[in-house]
Amino acid sequence: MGTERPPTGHDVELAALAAAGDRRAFGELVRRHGSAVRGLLRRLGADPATADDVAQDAFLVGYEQIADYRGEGAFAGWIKKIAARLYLRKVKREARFVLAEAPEDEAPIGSDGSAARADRLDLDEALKSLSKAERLCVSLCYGADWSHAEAAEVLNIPLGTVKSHVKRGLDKLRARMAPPSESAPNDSARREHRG
Amino acid sequence: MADLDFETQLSRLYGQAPVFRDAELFAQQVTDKLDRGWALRRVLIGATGVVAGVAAAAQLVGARFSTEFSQMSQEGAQQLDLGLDKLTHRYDQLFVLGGSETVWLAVALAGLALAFAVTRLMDEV
Repeated sequence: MGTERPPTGHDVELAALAAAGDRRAFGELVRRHGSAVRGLLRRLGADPATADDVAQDAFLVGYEQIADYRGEGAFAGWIKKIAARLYLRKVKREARFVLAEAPEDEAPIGSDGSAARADRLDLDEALKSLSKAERLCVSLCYGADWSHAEAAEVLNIPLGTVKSHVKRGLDKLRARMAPPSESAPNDSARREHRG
Repeated sequence: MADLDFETQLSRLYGQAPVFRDAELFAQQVTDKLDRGWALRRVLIGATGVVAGVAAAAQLVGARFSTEFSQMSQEGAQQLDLGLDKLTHRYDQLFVLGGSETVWLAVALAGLALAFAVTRLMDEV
């Protein structure tokens, strides 16, 4: 009806409009948060095509369930949780297999050369040094803001396994991303309280 | 402390959305899918309305015939001719403006038209 001007406003306002049936308002939410969802899915380990498919499905599911979002948290966090659940459902069989293996530190940690230093702040590059299970657990806990317990429940693996995957993943990321002066000790106690 | 700093930095990095060159295309694809889903839903609602309207009209007409036929059975064979005449007369009334069946059919069709109009209006708004 009339000229197509994208709606503006806070995410919560747009979500309320979308809940009332305004698809253009929801389109604006997709525009704002589409990249974040796609990025998270890739960081969880999805290939680009799968990430985009799952991200689209997540937004479609989000539109159906938009009335459930009441603005208690950020919309980005809400839609990311939906996307992560959809992705895990899609790859659950594979994920179980990978997680059940609980591999030891098979992935190389970057050397301290100049090329590695250039990658220190590149999260996506650093994530490549993690095993699939570590990458999944770290990205769920830090990217989708899941607790260890939530991740353990959805992945259907013991809580201790999630914690050890996260710990090893953090150690590797720290080694790749932290400044050289920081020879960080191996401890990820902060997330322990979440479990 | 360094751990907390690192984890805070990590959460912040995760919170920074990567830049995709096709971000607008992605958003368009999602909204297109939403629109297609809504259009499909509208067609289904309309089709359901048509089926329901036809079924209701058929029930109305069928009930009328059924009543007439059972009455004829009860009244006996000697009144068959009379009943047939009456039935024929009633049936003819279907096509006479102002007959009760015609009114019911008109109401059903008006209901269908209203349902289409409402779904169309919802889509426009």
